[in-house]
Amino acid sequence: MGHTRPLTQVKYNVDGDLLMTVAKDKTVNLWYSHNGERIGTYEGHQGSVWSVDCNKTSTLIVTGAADNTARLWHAETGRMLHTWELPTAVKRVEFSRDDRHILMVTEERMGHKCGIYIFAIDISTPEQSNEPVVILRSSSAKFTAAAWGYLDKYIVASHENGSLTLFDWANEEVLRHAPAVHEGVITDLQMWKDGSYFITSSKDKTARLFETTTLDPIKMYKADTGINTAAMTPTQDLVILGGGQDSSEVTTTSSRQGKFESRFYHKVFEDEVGRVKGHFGPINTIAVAPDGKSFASGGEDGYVRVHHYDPDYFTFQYDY
Amino acid sequence: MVEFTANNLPAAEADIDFSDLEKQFVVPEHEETLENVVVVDNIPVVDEAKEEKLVQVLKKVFKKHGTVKANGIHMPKETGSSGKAKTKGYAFVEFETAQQAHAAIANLNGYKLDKSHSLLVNAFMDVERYTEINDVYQAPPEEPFEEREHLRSWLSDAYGRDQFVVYADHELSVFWNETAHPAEKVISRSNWTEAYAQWSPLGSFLCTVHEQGLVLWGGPSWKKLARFIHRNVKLIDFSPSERYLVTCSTEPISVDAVNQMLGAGNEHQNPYSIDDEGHTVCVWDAQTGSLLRSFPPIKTEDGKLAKGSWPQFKWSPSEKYLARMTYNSSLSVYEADTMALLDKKSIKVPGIQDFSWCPRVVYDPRTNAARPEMLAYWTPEEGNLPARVTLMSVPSRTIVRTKNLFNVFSASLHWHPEGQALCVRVQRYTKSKKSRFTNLEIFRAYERDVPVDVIELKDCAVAFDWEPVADNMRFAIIHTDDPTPPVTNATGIASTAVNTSVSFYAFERKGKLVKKEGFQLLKTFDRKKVTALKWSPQGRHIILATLRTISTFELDFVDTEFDQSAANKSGVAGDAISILATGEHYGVTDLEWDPTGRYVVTMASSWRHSMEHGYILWDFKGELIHKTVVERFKQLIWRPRPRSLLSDEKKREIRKDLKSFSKELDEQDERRLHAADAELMSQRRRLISEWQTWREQVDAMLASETDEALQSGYKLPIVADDQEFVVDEIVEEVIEEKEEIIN
Repeated sequence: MGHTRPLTQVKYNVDGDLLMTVAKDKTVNLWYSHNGERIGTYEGHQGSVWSVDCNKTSTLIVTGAADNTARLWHAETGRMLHTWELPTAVKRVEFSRDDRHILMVTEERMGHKCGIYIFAIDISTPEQSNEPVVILRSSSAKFTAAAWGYLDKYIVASHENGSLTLFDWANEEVLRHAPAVHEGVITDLQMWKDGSYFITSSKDKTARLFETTTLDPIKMYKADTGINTAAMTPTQDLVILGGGQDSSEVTTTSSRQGKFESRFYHKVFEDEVGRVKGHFGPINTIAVAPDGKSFASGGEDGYVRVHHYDPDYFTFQYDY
Repeated sequence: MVEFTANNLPAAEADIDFSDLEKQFVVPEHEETLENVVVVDNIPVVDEAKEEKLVQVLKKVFKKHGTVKANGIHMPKETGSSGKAKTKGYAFVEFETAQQAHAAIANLNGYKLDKSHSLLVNAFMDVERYTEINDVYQAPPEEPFEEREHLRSWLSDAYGRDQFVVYADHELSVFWNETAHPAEKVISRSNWTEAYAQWSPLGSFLCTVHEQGLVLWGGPSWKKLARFIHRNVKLIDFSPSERYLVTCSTEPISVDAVNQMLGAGNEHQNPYSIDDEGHTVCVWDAQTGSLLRSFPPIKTEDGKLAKGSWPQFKWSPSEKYLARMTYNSSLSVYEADTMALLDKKSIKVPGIQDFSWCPRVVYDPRTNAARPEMLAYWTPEEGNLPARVTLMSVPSRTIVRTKNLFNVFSASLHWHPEGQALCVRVQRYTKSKKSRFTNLEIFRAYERDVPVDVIELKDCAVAFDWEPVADNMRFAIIHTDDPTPPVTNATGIASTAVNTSVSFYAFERKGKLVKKEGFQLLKTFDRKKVTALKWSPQGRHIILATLRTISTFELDFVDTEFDQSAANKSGVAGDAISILATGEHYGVTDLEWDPTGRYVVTMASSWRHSMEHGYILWDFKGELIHKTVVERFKQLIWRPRPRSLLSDEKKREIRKDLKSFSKELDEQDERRLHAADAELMSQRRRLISEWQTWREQVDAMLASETDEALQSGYKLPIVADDQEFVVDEIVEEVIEEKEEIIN
């Protein structure tokens, strides 16, 4: 059994052999990435699970959900190790690069301000501190996503109004704020593997690359529909965008009309190079395997699709 | 002269000397009194017996524009050699007021009293003024010559490309059409037009529509060439050779409103006078931008505004005449030179439903003289009178041919683009009046006695298109059993696609295979969902398209001369017709051939729906060249080309030598392609080297910062080296199993 409701995030572990998927159906699934065999399910969340991450050694999994909790799981046994109670839903979780902290982006709701909560993690014991090390607050609209920058020095957060903020999280200081770099809600934010730049996707039908320390725009990829997610491939100079018309806007049932394809762009030239079809609904999340040989997409249709590239993908050379 | 001061005031008014003021503000008395007199020249010379009658006629003419004073018409006479007193051919008319005199001058100058007498009406004061002019000619200062840009420069493009204009979002852009790479932008301006854009029929001008009026642009620099002030203009129509322009607005003309819009001090730019007040349609000189005449909206007999179709004024092909009809009652033909009604009266045509000019001046093949222009109109059944199609020659107004029709539901007029034939598509009731069918009545308009061929269909033809080629009379129709148009939404998108068939017909002269001359059915494509037909401007190729439906978006590219050998073999001309390719354009709403017939653009316009907007370029064979998706794309129009100046012989010659030309042109294309590729490659190389330099900087920065961080205690988790390992998997497969008993 996979997911019965729209996917919210898919993620590979560092080795790339495992694929974690979370969805609005409250379940967290773990799969073998090479053949799609399900290893197990982490059960316990009482609401839509919004986000998932695992540490670098693939021993711990953290999830954030709409039941106002974030949970830490033992990856191998599925045992729940710890539950953090937060004031509102947890939209995004991510281990720091050194695995010693977790950031949690919380929703703005019921009078509670949104925030980025940072908790310290002690790998040696299942017991974790319920006291956040730091809470970062937004000076702008609410947060939609956040990611750790290189050497865990920075946290980059995206906002609903299309702006970005760079935090020196340890000192709770806003280093830089880039207002309205997108013309719509920023839907996803994914760091490059070394944390020096990142890609954002937005409902304004574009995805953009930004440099972490300066928040300077580097590249822009234009699509013809709202973009829900954007990922970078680690080996080829490509980015993958996923999105599609919101179900509320779809006027006909034609899947072609909804633009539910994964779109490939050349990272440097900004040209669209190809599309992969498959989903029957908008694509909510895309992750690329760390070895760059496959990618996974999760859709509003409840399917996770793992695509292994054809051999000519690796031999394809862009002329220049 | 005594100096007056405050202490020394004059005792009485008489003491003051006003002579200086009187001199300064002198009012010549006679001018005041003669402003209301006009001189009417070029009236017939009559003797005393007829004088009274002529005065009465003049009175009647001038009465419309003002009150003529009692005994206000004075006609000088002289006694000729025969001893009889004759008028001198001019008269003075005295009006009550000067305004009335002005109105008479404005309206009656050039008025045709009869065939040989057009009145020349001038102010009497003008005569005075001109007599005072110095007899010695003084040359006016010479204005420096300002060279006008070549309005047809785009035709001399070295690669023979065509231009098109795209209106998307707020941006209006002109492009060169390209096939190997994306279209090359010529110019693009934001908010260049407020409603839409339009080319003039020969492509010289690009017309933009604004709240204040229209502007024409053109030439290589896209300069403003002319401006036409017409508030809230909605519709534009050019005469066939771009000399005149007709505009229509929803707002009646108000001189004050235009003055207000122009601002104080600019009143002289206002093209309107008090006589244009309340009118909605204007005819302009497109070259100079001056207003020729304005017209009131058409009213029905009960005084309501009639709903009309556009163009309201239809031009004769020579541009000499323009005509508009008043639905159900009359047809008014105007002469373009004078903007006056032909023969001073409209043609009464009770019941007139529609009319159409023959679109081309037809020349007599023997004498090479232009044949008189012709128009056609039809009237429905009325009581005992049958419905009737009439061909009328203009300006003589002679009826060339009429044909009576029975059981008519409606009719539409389709002239062959070259003018040699008119097809009247008549929707008729069956005898039971329960269903309908179509008759095609084809008038060979310029042949002797105007023969009519009739094609009776079993079902209804819903669309008709002539092949726009002079030599042959070939056409295609869409026909269907169910003539009721499908339900459409407010923007004209149908919710269903009706099953239709497409048939081709051609006129065949008597020959070996053809016993009876007339129109023959060539071929029928059944079970289609076609809603529109578009012949290539060069003929031969035609597109069958399903436009503006919610479910079907098919395009069939048809070649009517594809397999000529099959046709020759079977003796059936229709066997040559074949569908070359079938394409699909999701959400297609419009379709337009380029003026050369090489390419076709299909469009999905945001005026019609909110689906995917943009356009696709196809070649005539139905191969997709490129697809452009543009947010809020509205319209695309190819820039029309003037008619070719080459003679038919020259064209044939070129066609014969096409191979030698095409070799050269192919090479040219190749070179251009390479040049573009090289440009793209160098651009990419630049981008990639910029990227790499940036990455090197970042990598160096990261390396040093990582060192620093590690020294100060930052620890990265130990991750198993990510080297790949090979898992040996042994798969055993039993190929064959044999049991043998060994003794």
